[in-house]
Amino acid sequence: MQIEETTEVWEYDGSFHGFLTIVYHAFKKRQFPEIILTPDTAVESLFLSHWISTDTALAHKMYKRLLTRLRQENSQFIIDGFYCSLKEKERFLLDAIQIALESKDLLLNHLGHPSILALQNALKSLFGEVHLFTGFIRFEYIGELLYSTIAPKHFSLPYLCPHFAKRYPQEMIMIYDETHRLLGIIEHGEISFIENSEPPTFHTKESEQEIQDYWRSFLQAITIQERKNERAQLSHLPKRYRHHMVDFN
Amino acid sequence: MELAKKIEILAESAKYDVSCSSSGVTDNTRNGTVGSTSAAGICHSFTSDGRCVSLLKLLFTNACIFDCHYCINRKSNTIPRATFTPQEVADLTMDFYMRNYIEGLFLSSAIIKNVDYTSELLIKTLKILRYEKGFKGYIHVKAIPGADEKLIEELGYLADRMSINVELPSRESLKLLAPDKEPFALYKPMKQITQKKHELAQVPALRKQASFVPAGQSTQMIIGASPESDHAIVKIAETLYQKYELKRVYYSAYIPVNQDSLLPAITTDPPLLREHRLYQADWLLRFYRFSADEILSEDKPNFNLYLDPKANWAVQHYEQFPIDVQTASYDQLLRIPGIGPKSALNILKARKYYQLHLSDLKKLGVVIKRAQYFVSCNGARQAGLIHDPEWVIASLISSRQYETLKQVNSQSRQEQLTLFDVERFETTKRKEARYAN
Repeated sequence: MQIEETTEVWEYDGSFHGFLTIVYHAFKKRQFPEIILTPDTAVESLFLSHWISTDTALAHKMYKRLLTRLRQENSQFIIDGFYCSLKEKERFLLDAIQIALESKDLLLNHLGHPSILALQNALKSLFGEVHLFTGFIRFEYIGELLYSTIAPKHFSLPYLCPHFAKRYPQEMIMIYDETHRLLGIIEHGEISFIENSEPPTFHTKESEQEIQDYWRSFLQAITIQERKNERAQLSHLPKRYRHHMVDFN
Repeated sequence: MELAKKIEILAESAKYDVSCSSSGVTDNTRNGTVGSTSAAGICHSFTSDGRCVSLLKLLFTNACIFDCHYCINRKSNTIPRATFTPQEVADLTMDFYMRNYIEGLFLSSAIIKNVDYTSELLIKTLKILRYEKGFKGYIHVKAIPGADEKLIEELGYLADRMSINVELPSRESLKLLAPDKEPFALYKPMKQITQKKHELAQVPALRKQASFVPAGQSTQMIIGASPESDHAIVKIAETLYQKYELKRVYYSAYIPVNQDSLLPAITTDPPLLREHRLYQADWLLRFYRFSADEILSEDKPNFNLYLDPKANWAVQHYEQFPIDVQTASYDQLLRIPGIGPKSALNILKARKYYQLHLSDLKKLGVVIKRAQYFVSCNGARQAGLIHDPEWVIASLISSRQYETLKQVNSQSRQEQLTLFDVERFETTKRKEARYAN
């Protein structure tokens, strides 16, 4: 398939459906724009852009087509790739889709292509963050509900929820992602999300304070002073996670 | 006594227990209403000494009837004593687990009254957790050596991992420093657990149902409290892996906690680098198919503190290098410094379809900085390198370290071998430091 590289600048709303609409237009016209902006990145850009409005029906159609045309690993790579925080990811993803369509090969075998390498590195970073959060999230009981707030760099929450659904199969859980204003709800193992949500407000119980104090004194007690090494601590547990951890209050 | 105070005392007492891993099993067969185990270890926090916290590490009690010289909880020490109740430990574990502070429980204990009584308390705690609270998460429990076989078996069905601390690497040291402990009693439960696991594995009907110590056994040795050489320690670890199929052996640099004429002075620094080298050697045993006698030998029984054991081995066997990555077997690849199991597999995969080139190695995960002295690729070697063992050592360590080593060397007027005589160098340095202060 011959694709023409143009100097155009496109802009869309930043949603997954919006991105699929872009995929549709790019392959329909057989033209890849040079830059794809979202409302967030458009602020920093001086270029005049061409707005592509999201068409949900079209997006659904494209999604189905991608799933049938690409092998499973590749479509998963592209979906995961979309949820990474990576500058110009949309442009890289267009390349990835094209490579996947043409070669029918595993995208991971094309690490030589700069777009695939960039996406792969971003994916590593996404999954790394998800793994760290499985340990670093702290819950509080609010009535019968387990609640937690996180501020991830990537769109980690949907990847994180299955872990907690399995860990607490009988509980009602809420995790709020400040960065993406996304609320994840796990009810007896069933996961759902509310987008563009405000953080829920409630008061924590007194007893939670007591348990948090126990936890802090436990951490204090198992520290071996003779081995003190704050640099190692910092590299394992970077500062950006500490904000929401009761360990450091 | 208040719970907060108990946590303070009994977590403090457990802090020298190594092992925080919780990655033994996935989807174990236990029934329960809360909790899961995960194959990849999840760390929940890191203390300011840089060690990971994944388990609620507690002693059930620190009121011990034994008087081991190296132990902070020895009977003759005047320290505050405390004992949990089984219910308290179970409640605390659940409270922490529900808030995602921990991945599971690590429960050890000093000997209260007698070994059987202590074991029964541990069993009671685990029963509350498993049956009353429906806890399916990870539990690591220390078996009490000398306890009744029935009790040890019962604990094995309740826990995910069990460990028996070898404590000291030789019978003589054990006799001297832990006079109340019976050296043979230490290995008996290890053997029992291994045998029981074998038994269960042979009955197909039980294989799926029974979860007897599904995450295997581990043990811990204290390093630096007694005079054993590194070679002796690595040898013991090797035997433990082979004979008792241990999952892990942990090494703990001795931190002087007691004033005792039989032990290093209380001002001695813990031998952290030695501990690190032991872990590296342990990896060589488990993942790199080395044998203990290859890593160290009777006449060179101690680690080179400047070179990691694998690089040290490679330099001493320099005549076996370079190894050609295009034709080498998996085992041979593993022997090259800078190549690990993952990159060795990558090389095997990659060379099926392509002729490798030296420049490809980095992409396949090889640490070129180390490997370059030891590899060739279709006969080609990295250009501009001098291939002399001594030069290789100089390039692998910092120039300052090399200069100091050389100084020690020239004073002793011995050849090559003294380049590895780091022990003596360390003693000299320590002596000098005393005057410098």
